[in-house]
Amino acid sequence: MSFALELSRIHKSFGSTQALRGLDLQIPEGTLFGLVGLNGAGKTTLIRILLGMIQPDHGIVNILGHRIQNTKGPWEKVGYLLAGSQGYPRLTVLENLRVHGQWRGGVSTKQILETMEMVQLTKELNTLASHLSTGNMQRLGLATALLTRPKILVLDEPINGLDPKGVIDIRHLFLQLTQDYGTTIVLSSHILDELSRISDIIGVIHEGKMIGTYSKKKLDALLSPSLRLNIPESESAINFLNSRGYSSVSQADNWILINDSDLAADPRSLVNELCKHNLTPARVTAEQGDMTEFFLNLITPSTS
Amino acid sequence: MTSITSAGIVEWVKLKRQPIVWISFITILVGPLMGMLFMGILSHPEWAEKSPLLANKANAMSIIVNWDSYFQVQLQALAVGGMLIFGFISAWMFGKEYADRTHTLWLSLPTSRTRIITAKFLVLTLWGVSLVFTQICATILFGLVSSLPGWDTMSILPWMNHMFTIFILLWLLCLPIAWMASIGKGYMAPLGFLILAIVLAQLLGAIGCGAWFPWSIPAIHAGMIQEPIYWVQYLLVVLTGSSGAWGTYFWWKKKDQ
Repeated sequence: MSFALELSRIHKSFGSTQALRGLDLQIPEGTLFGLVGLNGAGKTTLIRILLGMIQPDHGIVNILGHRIQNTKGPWEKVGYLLAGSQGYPRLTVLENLRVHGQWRGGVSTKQILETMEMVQLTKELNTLASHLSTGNMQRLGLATALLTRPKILVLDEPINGLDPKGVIDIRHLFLQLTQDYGTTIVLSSHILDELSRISDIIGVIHEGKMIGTYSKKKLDALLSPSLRLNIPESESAINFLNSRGYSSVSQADNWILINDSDLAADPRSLVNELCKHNLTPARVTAEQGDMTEFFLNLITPSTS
Repeated sequence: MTSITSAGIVEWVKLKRQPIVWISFITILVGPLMGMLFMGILSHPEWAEKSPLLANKANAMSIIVNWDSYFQVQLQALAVGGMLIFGFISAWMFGKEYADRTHTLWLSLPTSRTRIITAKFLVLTLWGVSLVFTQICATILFGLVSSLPGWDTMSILPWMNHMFTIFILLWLLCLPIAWMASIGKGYMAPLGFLILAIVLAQLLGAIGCGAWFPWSIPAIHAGMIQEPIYWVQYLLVVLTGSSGAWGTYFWWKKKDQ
C-alpha cells in the first residue's frame, strides 16, 4: 500500500504549550481521512504542518514521497482550504479564481468554470467575495482548493456554514473525487456524524497525539444500531443473554446494551423469550450508534 | 514554479477596487497644490492678508515666486508627504493580508513565498514610481497654467533626478515597515513604527543629529534641514532598507505562519 501522507514522530511546541507530542500518521492514497478532536487537540497545527506553514520541532513529514522541508513541498499536487478568509474581499469570485490560477501556473477559463460548477458557485461568478454568504465563501474556498484537480486535498472545516443541500452536494463531490479520481482527502470537522458518514478512515487526535484510527468498517461495527433493555433483574438478564450466545452485551446504569443491528431492527423474539423467563423488560429501545458519544467516550480516559 | 511576472500580475490585480490606490494619487497632488497656493499667496498680497498663516509659512520657507522655488517646495513635499504615503502603502500591502486573513491563501503554492514577496516589492516600486511621476507631471502642469516666471528647461532634469533620488530613499525606508507589518501581523505595528520614525526624524533633525538617522535623510536631501550629508549616511539608508527586505523575506520564509 502506498501512502499519500506520512508523518513520523511529529513534535511541535508553542512556548510552553505542547501542541503535538510524537504524532504518527499514515494516510493511504485515494482515501478520505477524517480528523476529529477537541478544540486545542492539535488538528490545526497538524494541518499547517502538513502544508509546510509550520515547521515541526522534530519529526518527518512526507507528501507523495517528498519530504516537506523549509516550506518546500509538492504544492502543485496539493489543494487546501483553511479556516479564515477564502478569497480577496474586493475581487469577484472569477477574479479570485484567476488569481489562484496564476499562482498555480495558469489555469484555463474553462477549468475555472468547471470548478465553479463542481461547487455550485456559477451564479456568483461576478459577485465580490465580500458580498458572498458564509456558505458561498466556503464554496469559493473549496473551488480554489480544487482548481488544479490536486492529488491531495487538505480541508479544515470545509462544511462549516453550508446549508443541508450544500453538505449533501459536497459529500457527493468528495466521494466522487476519492473514488473516480483517486484523490486523497484530509478533512477536519466538528460535525462528527457527517464525518463518520463520508470518511474511509477516521483519526482521533487528542492532546497532541493520534489516539486512534478507525476504518469505515470498524467504525460501522462500533456505531451499529444497538438494543437497549431496561430490566429490573439485570444480573439474571445478563446471565441469560450470555447463555444464549449474545456476545456484545454490556451494562450502563439501569440499561443493558446489546450491539447487534439485526436484533435492534427486530427485537420481538428476544423480548418474548425474556418474558417467558420472567425477565420482562420495563422498556425496550433501539438506537443508532452515536459518533459524538463514541468520540467523547474515547477521549474521556485521557481527559480524566 | 510560476514566473515572477505571474506573481506580479496577481499583486497588481489585488489592487483592483482598493480605495487606497486613488487616495494615494489624490494625496500626492497635495504637494503641487500647496506649491501653487504658496506661489499665489506670495504673488497676490491681497490673498496673503486673507491667509496670514500660509503667508508666514511661505516666508519662513524662503519661498519666492519662480520655478526653482516651486520645484524646491515639491522636493520637500515629497520628502515629508512621501514618507507618510509610501509608509502607509507598505503597511497596507503587507498588513492587509493578515488583517483580511488572506495570507494563508498563498503560503503553500507552486509559486514560492519568496516570489510573492518579491512581486509585492515590485508592485510597491511601480506604485511609488507612478506616484512620483504623477507629482512631477502635476507640478509642471500647474506651474505652466499659472505662468510661473523663471522657466528653465535645463533645470527640469536635475530636479527630476532629485525627485527620484528622494523616492529611492523613501522606498528603501519603507522596507522595514513591510517587515514590521509582517511581524505585527496587521497595520498597527507598522503605522506605529512609521509615526515613531517621523517624530524621531523631526526631533533629531532639530538637534542637529538628523544625518545619522535614516528617516531624516530624505528631508536633509530635500534641503529642509541644513545639515551636511555624506555617502556614508546614504549607505546607512541602503543598509536600513536591506535589513527591512531581508527581515521581510526571512519572516515569510522561515517563521511559522
